Amino acid sequence: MSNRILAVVAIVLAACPQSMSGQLASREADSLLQTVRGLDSVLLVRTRSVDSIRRTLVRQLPPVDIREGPIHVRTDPTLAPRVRSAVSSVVEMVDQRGGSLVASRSSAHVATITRDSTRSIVGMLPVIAINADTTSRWSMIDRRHVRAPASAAAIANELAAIVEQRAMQGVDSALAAWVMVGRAPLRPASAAEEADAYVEYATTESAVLRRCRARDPFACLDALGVDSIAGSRLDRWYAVEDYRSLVRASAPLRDDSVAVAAWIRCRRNGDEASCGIAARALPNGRVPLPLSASVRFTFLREVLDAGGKGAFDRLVGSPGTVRDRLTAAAGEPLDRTALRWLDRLESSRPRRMEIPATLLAASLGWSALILGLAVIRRNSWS
Amino acid sequence: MVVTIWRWGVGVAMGCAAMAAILLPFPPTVPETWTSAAPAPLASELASLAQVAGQAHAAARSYRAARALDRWSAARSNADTALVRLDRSVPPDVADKARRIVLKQWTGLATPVSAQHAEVFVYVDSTPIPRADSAATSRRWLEPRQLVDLAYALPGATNGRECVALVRLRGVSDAHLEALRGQSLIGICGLYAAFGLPGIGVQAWLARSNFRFARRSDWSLARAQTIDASALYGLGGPAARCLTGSPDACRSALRLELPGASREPQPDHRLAWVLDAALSANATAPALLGGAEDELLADAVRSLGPERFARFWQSPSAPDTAFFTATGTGIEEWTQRWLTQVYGAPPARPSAGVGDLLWWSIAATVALLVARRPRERVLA
Repeated sequence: MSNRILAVVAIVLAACPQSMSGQLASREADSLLQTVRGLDSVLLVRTRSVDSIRRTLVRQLPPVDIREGPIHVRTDPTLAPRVRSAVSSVVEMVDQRGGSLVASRSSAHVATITRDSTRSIVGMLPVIAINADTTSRWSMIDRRHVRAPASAAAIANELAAIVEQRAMQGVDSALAAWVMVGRAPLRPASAAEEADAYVEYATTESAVLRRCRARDPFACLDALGVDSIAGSRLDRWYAVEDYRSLVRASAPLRDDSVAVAAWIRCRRNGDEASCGIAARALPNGRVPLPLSASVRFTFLREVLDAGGKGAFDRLVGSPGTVRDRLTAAAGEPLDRTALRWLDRLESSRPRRMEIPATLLAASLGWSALILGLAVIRRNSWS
Repeated sequence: MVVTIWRWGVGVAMGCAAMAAILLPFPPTVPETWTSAAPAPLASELASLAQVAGQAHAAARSYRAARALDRWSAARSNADTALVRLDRSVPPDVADKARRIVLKQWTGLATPVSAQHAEVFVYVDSTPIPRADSAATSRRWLEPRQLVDLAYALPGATNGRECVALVRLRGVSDAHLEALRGQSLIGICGLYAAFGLPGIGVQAWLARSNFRFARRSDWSLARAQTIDASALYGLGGPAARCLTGSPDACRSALRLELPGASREPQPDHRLAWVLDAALSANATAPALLGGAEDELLADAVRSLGPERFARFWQSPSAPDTAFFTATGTGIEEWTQRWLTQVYGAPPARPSAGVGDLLWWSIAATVALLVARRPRERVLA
């Protein structure tokens, strides 16, 4: 290459520092991409290695096979009598409240019930573990456990919880979003569930809930979010006097500085005007339903009770809005179901300051023991 | 029968023996499977997998940062400074909307800002990083699925003068623009835009602490004083001691002083000056001042005001000297007040109240009187 050509090349390069630096930069990006690909290859090898090790780990199935109706369980010989009894009660529950859909969904899986242990504060605790599914390596439904020794009823309760979750798998998003808790109410309500629902119903500050308490079934259905009505949710569900408690549960958007300042003043001082500003700044989608998903769940249980056999099948299979489907499941006008649900809710007011019998017995026992010792000890110890 | 201490002891021992006979031996526990403890070979292989996955994700982030900086360099040659710069890859109809969104966020700072030291650069890049298994046996990508990626290139990564928020739109649909609107884009670059380049001392301090105290620039918004009642108990040792009034602990929590041996080296590669917005500073090291530490300097602007904060920010002195010169208050004292405001005052030390002492005195007097009373033997 002659000196003249070299000089021309040098002049061109000197004139284009930008393109040179650009080339250097893109070379850096290319080199980084090569690094990424190299690491990705290693990642692939490691993933295959983990998969191959996992395939070699075979967990033995428990030997006792129990099949009744749609429920299929494998368990240990020592647990078999209790598990048989538990399976029977779950099958009965599926017959009464579940219907064919729940039965078909449950029959596709094999659960295992085995002795296991779990960590506790001190050492290990023996438990009875219920694995929802042995037919696949991974299940949407978590394993559950109950403290050993457990009664057949306790095992049935956990097995039924798995069936409840199984029932809601694959339902359409509209119904799943309304139910929200991810399970169907097949078991009867526990006392704690009823008490919680009552406390929420009695203490939530909301205009629509006050109308519901005055036995307006349409207001109850509105508070339960059964109807999707256009318009302002704030005006429909909350009055000005409810804004303070509403703002405690919901916050305005963080880039609305006026509303955020009002929200802080409302929470700190309870200033009514500030609460109003903060509440009115809530976007419509952020205004919460007056009643939570737990209370909606109790209403769904009422609907299924009203509908009797096949109610759940009708709920899942019917077309239309959530209201249409609940009506089809209940087999009666929904306002009638709402009033019955209201009666049940009102009657489930928890007893305040209830003293558990065991606590009472322990208190009396200790008192008697101390008094007895005091009476016996008439003489000084020698 | 007279109850003597000996008989009492025998009774208690027999009771304990009976309880032990009933309860022992404790029921055997089967090997734990409930918590899915992986067998040894699987556990070690999983640890290697997690390590390589972490390295691959970090390399992917570096690659994206390098690509973004290349694009920014190319786009920048067309104009000098601008608060919003859009790449040629952004279609014209999307460009207007994106520009409005970014400008709205700049306006939201409510402090005069300059394009001399900061800007937001928006580009569109929907290309995935191809996986090593070309047969596509795995459908997962190396990058998490999202609509918008955000990283902050500090001056060390750009031209030494500008902080650039690198905004990657992975598409141009309405959903992508909505995600852009919902994302806080300005971040640390807001401090550079409002207050210019930090002085040497402050810059060294920020780098030493991985810019963890300067990640937010939302000082124009009021914010709640206490973030969470239980957050107080999540404070690390130095921060907790600072809250209770130890200035040395405040200095340690702020990383104002480090022993020479453990002084962190300054990053020597330009990509080390790129902060990923999705990766918290606490992802690699524990928080020094709790979960709200990324708000520290934004809160300093709130409490000191922009003028005094600018004096601190631009001072060439060490941060403690700069803070005292600008505000007349020690940074330790201010940090203690900040911790109290954000996490709440420390709970009072347990102490005996006047009422407790009074009742204890009465009980002790009665006990002494009873003890001094001569004992009489009662015949059984």
